[in-house]
Amino acid sequence: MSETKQVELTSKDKVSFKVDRDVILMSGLVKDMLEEGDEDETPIIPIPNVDSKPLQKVIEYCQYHHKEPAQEIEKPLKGKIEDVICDWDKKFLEIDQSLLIELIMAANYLNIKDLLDLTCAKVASMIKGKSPEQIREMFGIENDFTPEEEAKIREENKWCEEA
Amino acid sequence: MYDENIETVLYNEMTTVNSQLISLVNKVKLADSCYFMYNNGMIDEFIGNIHEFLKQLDFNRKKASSDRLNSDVLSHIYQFLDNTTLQECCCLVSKLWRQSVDGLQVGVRGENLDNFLNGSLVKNVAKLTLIISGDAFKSLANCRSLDKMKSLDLLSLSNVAVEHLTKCHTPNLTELNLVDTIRIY
Repeated sequence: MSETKQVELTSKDKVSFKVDRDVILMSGLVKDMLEEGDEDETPIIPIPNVDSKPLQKVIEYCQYHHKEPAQEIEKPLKGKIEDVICDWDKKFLEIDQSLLIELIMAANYLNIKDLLDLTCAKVASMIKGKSPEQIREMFGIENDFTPEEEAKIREENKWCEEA
Repeated sequence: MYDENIETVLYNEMTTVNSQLISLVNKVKLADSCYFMYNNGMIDEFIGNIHEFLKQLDFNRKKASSDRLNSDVLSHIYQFLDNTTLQECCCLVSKLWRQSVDGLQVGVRGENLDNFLNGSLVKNVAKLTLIISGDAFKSLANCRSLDKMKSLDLLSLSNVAVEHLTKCHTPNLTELNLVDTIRIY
């Protein structure tokens, strides 16, 4: 029986993860890096932009969805994200906001489209129905508009109509 | 003024206050219930300050992670949001959030066209529906902010309109639709 080929990923905080090569090929970045390397060795791939906590979640996602391909998420979302994703993904997204954002950055960097879609759709779902003030509070964003600029934007919205 | 060592000072102070809080928890357990009755004002102030500190701490922690949401990532998030949310909420959150909106679909009537074209929202429009005629197309031809527009819906197209349209600066326009009826809500 042939042994499954593995890849070793090293996170920003120097934690190593051994992952099946087939699993981590979901990452466009890793795939490109592996194509350049030697097939016979267990390659060590540094992931300098991602900490161990989000990297572990990324691996968890790839291990599941490598066998169960993710379903396309509707754009725009008509309702809540929970209505359009599978139970496993719902459970996967039960994380705090800072880890969710770290996951988005990791999925973007590692070029894992389905994970990027899932995490971005989750943030979009959190934004839906909120006022600009509530969104600022939710993400710790400072309002850098002057009151005059804000009033002008609101005025501009009146000149446009939904087409 | 920004203190270069503010992080060190903050770390040291939080470590000290942390130890004091642990000590306070034990003392509170031992104190007589009368103490809490007679010192209500001071206790309320203490709680208020702790709440204010926690609120600021929470805001800064959220800010630290959401500062990483750059324009590319925001654009990806926006794909899952409807036009109204983008226009009425995301455009008003911050300048970065506004600049990152690049897929707006809006309809504009002739009487509002000049205001619209001279405003800032025009830069975020990907699909524009216009109910205009004749000379109004001249304003469109003079506008230099329709870089992101990919699709334009019009009710009619006269020879004069065609002449003005050919002068429009719309580098990404790939779709021009002539429609019998345009519904603007």
